[in-house]
Amino acid sequence: MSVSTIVVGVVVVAIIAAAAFVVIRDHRSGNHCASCRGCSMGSCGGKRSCCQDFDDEEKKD
Amino acid sequence: MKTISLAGNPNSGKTTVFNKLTGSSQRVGNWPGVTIDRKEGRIKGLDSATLVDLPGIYSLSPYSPEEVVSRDYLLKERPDVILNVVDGSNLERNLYLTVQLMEVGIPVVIALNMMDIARAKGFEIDSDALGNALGCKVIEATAAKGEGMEEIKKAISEVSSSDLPKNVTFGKDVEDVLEIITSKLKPTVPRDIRRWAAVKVFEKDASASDYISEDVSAEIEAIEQAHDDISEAIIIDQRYNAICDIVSRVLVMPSSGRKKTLSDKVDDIVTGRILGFPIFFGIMALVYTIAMLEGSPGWYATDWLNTYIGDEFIPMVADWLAEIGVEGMLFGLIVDGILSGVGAVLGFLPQMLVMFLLLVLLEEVGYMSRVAFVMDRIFRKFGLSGKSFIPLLVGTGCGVPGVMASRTIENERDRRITAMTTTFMPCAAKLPIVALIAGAIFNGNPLVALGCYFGGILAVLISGVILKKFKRFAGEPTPFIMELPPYHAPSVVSVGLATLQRGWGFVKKAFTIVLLATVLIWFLSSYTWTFQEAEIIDDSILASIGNAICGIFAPLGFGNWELSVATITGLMAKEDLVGTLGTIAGIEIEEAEGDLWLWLATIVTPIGAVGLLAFNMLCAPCFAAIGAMHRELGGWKATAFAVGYQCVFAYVCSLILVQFGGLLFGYDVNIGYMVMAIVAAVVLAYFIIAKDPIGNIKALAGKEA
Repeated sequence: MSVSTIVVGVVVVAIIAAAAFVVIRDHRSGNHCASCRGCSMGSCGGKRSCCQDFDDEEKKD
Repeated sequence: MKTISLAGNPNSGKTTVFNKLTGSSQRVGNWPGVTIDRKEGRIKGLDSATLVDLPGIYSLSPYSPEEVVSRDYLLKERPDVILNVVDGSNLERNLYLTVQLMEVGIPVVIALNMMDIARAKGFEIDSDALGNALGCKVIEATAAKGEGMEEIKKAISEVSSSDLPKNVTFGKDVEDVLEIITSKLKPTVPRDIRRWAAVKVFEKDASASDYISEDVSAEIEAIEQAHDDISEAIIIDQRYNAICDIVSRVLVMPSSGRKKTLSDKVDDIVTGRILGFPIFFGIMALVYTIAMLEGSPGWYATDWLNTYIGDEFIPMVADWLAEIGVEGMLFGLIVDGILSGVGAVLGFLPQMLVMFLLLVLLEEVGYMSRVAFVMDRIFRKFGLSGKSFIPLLVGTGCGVPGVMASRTIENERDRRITAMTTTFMPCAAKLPIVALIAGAIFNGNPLVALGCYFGGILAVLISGVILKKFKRFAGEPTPFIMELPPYHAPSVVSVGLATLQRGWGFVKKAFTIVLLATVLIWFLSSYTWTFQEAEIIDDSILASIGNAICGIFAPLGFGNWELSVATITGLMAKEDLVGTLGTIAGIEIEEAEGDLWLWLATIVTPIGAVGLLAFNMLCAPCFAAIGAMHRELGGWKATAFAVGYQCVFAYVCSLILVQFGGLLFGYDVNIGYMVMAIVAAVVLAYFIIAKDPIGNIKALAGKEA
């Protein structure tokens, strides 16, 4: 096995591990809704309270 | 000891008035049974008077806990005086609560607050004329500066129990019915609140049955038919008529204020009964056309990026990896797995950005708030409130906050239906699926995306009708009242940031959950059950799993293993459907020349693509959204019911579309599948049309037993 194969392999594993870390971290913090910008329809007045409530409740759990 | 209750709209300066009148003499607790703050305090300089702060409310309707607490207190505790704080700079809206407070038979003193702002706006309010019109004392005040506080104290100390305010007079026909109702009220209803009780009976308020001794539904239904509206809306309308009449006599606005603003003029058209919905449809058609139509800016940019990723970037990386000696499993994982899968999703980024930009613009100018108002009329006909449309709009960004936004609906049954159906809307994660199908099968026809959007709304409406027939969801929808902010020019920074934020969310998901899924899919599609490298993809683990389940989807027009497993992986994140197809195509394209779009066109017919799209738009959402539903529905049993309902509903809709659509467009008919579709259509129609389908089925089952 060449050195370059090992280096590329390590990089790929690191990328996969980082992706897994972010998914688990976001799940645990309740930050699933990255695409929520806080709507202007009056439900939270742009304060992202939907995400915030979710976040708080996850932390309580 | 005199008890004074302090009532007013949120943001009317009520708390400032409370603090100015009581100083440090305050006690904070909770109202019984709810976690709403209850504050009491002795009024400075009036030691014999206790001030009780009611929650900030817009009306005394029974829908929010704050309103229930306030009306229960006023009706049961009977304070000596109500001190109503009215925002003088927003007189018309604030007086809506005032005219309801006047009906509960308690003397009212009005603190006309924020007069400095009203004067700065050029408003001249004749407070004496207002007092005469309402039959109570009106004190001009600016609580933030301490102005008017002494006069308020003096008015409170002088008012006596006989100083009852006037009642708002409704139209003659309504007053006639109120008179009939009053004559049929139970004798135990106190004289002070008989007017209130009659109005509540007329409005069909849930608590009204305690007041009435005889049935008056015929009289109320007659007036509802005459006005072509529900009784509660008739009262709301007539209250506002009375308020407008009073305001026209006591408020002098600057000459510019007398004219309709541009916002008002636009709203007359945009939220109008006739043009409201067609305008909404036209705007959404324009949004999807700009983003999706072949030759449009969104399509052009996406086509370029897809071509670049597929024809240049991936081959360039593959050549480089080969050059440095990377081969075999690692080469396959990078090129056929990660790059093909993530690239398939990322290729749609330009279309997503165009779509996000246009939707953000519509939100920023204030149009989307109007849509909820426009949709209220339609939703109400299907037993849902316009309030349910707000979570649907939020859900077009992401299903998780969409489900969460159902919390804003006070009616528990409507809230649960909304939480169950919000994910029928095409969220940002479903858009790559829509864009892929539209691009690969339908030449970027924007009607595909538009069909998904309005199909989602239709699915919510049909579900509203069906679910309302289950005892746990039955009941009238909550009336929807919202304040429409004026239209305003969007800020470039705000629109740019919001678009980039949504775009970043899309990119982040491509590099996290989609990437992980593509690794898994690549492994499953490259190896056999004995962990030997699969010679052809049809020998792989993924193909065997897909072949085992694809029969389920065959009646929906996509009974091949590739699309079946892609549908299942979409449960992790909806983009994974595209990522999975990208990964499989990355391997299969070596066997069949072309790119993802061309390959897809070879494995599914247009009618099958409709079935694939319909099922994936409506079936169970991603795991994150299912988690949010679990939280909102309060248990796994209810969540399982919701997910089961979504999957069955998606299957039935997709089956009907594919089989009847196939028949219409000349596809070969499979008799067995057609029989399934006919049975599904009959059952669906029965659930929509029959008054009590569940009861009928139970009765039938009982007879047979």
